[in-house]
Amino acid sequence: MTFQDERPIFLQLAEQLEAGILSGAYPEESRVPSITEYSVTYKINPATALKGINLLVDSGLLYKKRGLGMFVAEGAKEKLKAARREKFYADYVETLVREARNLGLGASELAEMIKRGFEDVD
Amino acid sequence: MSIEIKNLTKNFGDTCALDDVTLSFGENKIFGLLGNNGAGKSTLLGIVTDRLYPTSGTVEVDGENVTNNDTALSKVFLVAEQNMFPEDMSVKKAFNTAQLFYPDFDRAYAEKLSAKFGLNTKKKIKALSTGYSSIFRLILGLSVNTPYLLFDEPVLGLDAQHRDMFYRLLMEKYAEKPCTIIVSTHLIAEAAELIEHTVIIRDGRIIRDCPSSDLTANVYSVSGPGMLVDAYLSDKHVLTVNTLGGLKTACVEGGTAALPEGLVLSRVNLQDYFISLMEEEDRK
Amino acid sequence: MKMHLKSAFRYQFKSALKSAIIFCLIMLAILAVFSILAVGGYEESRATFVGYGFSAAIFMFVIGIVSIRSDLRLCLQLGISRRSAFVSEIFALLALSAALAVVGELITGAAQAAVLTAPSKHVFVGDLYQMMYLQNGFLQLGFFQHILSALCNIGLIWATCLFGMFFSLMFWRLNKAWTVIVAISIPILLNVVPWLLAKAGFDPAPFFTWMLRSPFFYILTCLVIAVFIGVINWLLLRRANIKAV
Repeated sequence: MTFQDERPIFLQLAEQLEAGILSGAYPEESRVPSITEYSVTYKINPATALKGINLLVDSGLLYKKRGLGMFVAEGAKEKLKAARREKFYADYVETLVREARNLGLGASELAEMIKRGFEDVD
Repeated sequence: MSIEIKNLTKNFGDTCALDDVTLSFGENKIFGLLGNNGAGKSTLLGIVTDRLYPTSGTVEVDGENVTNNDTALSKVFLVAEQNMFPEDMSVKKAFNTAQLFYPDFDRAYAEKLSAKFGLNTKKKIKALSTGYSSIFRLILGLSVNTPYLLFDEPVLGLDAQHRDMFYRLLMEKYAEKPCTIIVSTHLIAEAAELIEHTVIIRDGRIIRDCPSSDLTANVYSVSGPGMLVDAYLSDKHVLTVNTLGGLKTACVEGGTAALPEGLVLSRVNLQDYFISLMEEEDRK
Repeated sequence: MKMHLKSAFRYQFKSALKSAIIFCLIMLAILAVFSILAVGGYEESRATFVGYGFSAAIFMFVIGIVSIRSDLRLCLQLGISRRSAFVSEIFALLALSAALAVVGELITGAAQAAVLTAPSKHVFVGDLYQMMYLQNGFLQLGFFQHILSALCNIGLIWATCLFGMFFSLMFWRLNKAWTVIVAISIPILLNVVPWLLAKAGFDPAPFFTWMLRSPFFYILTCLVIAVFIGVINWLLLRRANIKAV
């Protein structure tokens, strides 16, 4: 992860953690890197790392085991998937529907197009 | 538990190096002290550590005035450009001496860091290159374990690899044993993500003193067609404007009002903000 | 406790100790050679050695010049205030002066004992105290006399040492122009002032007569001078801006 992005570091860190949980790199009940490890690896202030981690704690994706570190919560992957699906709906589907309406496409025509997409796209 | 600087003024003959400076460095945070050459950063850190005598004003460490106060002064360690050890002393002997003065000095850690950086502890201080002279002082700073750790241009003369090592070691130390750190540096881009609270000093006066996130949240860059940009900027606090052909880019401090079509907004990092701020100050 | 003097004192004492040991060894060597020559010499040979106290003072004068700035910088780096560094330096130099004085008594005493067996009647080993206050020349001192001799030397050595410190601090605080002015004017003053005083009818003789009445007056004079110079040294140091070299 490099910080060429303009978005705040703590957000990028949170997203990277979420991606890791989704991909299985951080399985449930496994320990994620500590604040110290993050701050040393990415040369960022521990407070920034903590901010990013706390985002996931607040969404119930991580929990703290005293003296041991931060662990991926049970069901985190599913929770994330569901959240991603909601986001998918908001980012893509709503936009898709609005654009379809602009072009005069109805719901069934749109469904046909989507079916075609599943066949054409690898 | 903090370092409180109150109405500090320092004159060197006719030159005013610090003009009525008031600052507070609170517990367990990393502070950045940014400013151009001659702005007063080294003077400030020097007065806090009794190397320079103030013209007026006070410095308090944990509520105690530092003047003639060893209890207060021994809580503050300054890593600066100047070597304050006898030049014919070996690094090893310097560590021994530090151990004598600081009971909490982590000798094993200092040896470990020396090996890591490739510093030969048998060498005399005068035989060290600029880089290794800095590294020697950095290792001291990282090993003394005082509640307040001050760095004045810590990475002078260090190559990229050593600078990288230092930042990582500093984060490791700070994450595991929190303390109050003040870093005065020219290399803003490198230090930007380490600093939680930024103090910007210019010509002996403090012009910004707030959390880094407040600074960067409150500044942005707009670019677009010249006319549009001008219209947008009319009631804004503009730091700098650059024109490239028909495209104008401006660095603005303040809230983002509704951005009209055709203008692109982007974030400004700490270094670019600092440069823009200095340019604005130059124009004043 | 606002003054942490112990570590500073230990460091300052140790850092000058090495040179002091070398000095003592040199003095010992000189006196040893002297004693051997005297003991094995002819009946008519004549030699005098009374220079320990004076030599030690010169040595400590140099130490006074050399240590203050170096020790002060180190102490400031390691969390000791300038006032504590100064105070412990004064005491460290006093302790060193005392050590040198004691060593001086030991080796001149030993040399005197050796010389007693000398065939020649014209061999003298002694020191300042003996020269100024004892009528009997260079016979061996008693224990109490050794104490007085040591105290006299401590006074002289310490005062001279602080005087060396004064030169170091003075040249530090002065800018280049003033340094040249002072450097030129000192030898001038040393010659001109006594002549002026003599012209004005000022006669230093009574003072010296008083001082020679008792070694305690001599010790007192040294102490007064030392304290006076010490205060000036502190005034010079109080507001100094301390950087490297």
